[in-house]
Amino acid sequence: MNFRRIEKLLEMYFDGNTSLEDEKILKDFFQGENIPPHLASLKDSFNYFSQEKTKDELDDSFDQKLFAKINNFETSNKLQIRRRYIYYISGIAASILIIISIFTNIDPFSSKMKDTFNDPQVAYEETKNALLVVSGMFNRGLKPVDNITKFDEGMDQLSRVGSLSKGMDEVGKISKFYETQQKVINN
Amino acid sequence: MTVEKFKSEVLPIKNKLYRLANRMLNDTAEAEDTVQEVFIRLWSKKEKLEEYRSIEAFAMVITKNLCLDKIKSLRNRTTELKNIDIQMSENSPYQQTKLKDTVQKIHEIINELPEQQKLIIHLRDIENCDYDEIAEITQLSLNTIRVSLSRARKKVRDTLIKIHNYEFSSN
Repeated sequence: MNFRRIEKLLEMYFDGNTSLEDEKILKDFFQGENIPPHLASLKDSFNYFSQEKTKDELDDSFDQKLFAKINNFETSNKLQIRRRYIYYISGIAASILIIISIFTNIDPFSSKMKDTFNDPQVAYEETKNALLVVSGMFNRGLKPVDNITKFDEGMDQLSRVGSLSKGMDEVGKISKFYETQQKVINN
Repeated sequence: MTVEKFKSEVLPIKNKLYRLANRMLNDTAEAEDTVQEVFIRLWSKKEKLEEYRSIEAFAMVITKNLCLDKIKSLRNRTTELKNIDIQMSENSPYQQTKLKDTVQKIHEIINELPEQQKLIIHLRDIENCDYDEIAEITQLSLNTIRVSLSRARKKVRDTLIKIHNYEFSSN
């Protein structure tokens, strides 16, 4: 082993002047045996450098976690793009509608009624007929609701329960009889 | 870029990014979160990704920047806690036995280096990046990189020699 060359390389190394090839030579040298005692402490650091690079610490579970996140990222991105797309389209549609209505003089909010009768008298009769039909149907719809009055009657009968409670008060007086009986027995 | 292409071309750099994040943050869970965030950012730029000369260097830059952000916000939040931590590490017997492990010792020496030196020695001596790559990632001039690297290497060497001598004389 050419120690003089190693010494020279080391000197360059500590001045930051070695190439990657030179540093490879140094690393290989310190991996070997027969290292002179005054260089022993350097052996440790060179070996440390070589060891550190071979450490592979992130395993498959890291990949899985990462790609789960990337998938998440992708779907939320797609949703956002789609949402933005809908906003654009609806914005364009609304502005087209406004422009059309301005240029064609169509007012979508007041559709004017047209007269279908010429004689006001005939029109009055027709309206009356129509209203009568409506009120007739309305009354028919109300009939089933009449049954609610029966419910009311039932409630009236229930109010008689009040007299039961009066009777119960009377029964309560029996306790006084019981008390006097007790006194008599005690005496 | 399809998921398959992303898996085969971008994902394999995960450990390199993780080592960098772990070096800068010195916290495995935080480092893993950071790397995940880096990949999600890369994925969100998947259309432009192929335009980059080196996706790897680009990913390293994102990782470095995210780590620096985290360091900053952590520093603001836990300055007091950190002080307590340092005091404890000087006294606790657990830390002292841990220090006996050489690998751990070197690890700690490098982690104690100033941010810039730590980053550069990591990129050069562990990841074997060439100087152009390091310049791209750190946004520093070649000269600054060489000077920082030299200081970092000497600091590691001197500290190790000190520990070595101390152990030698105490035996």
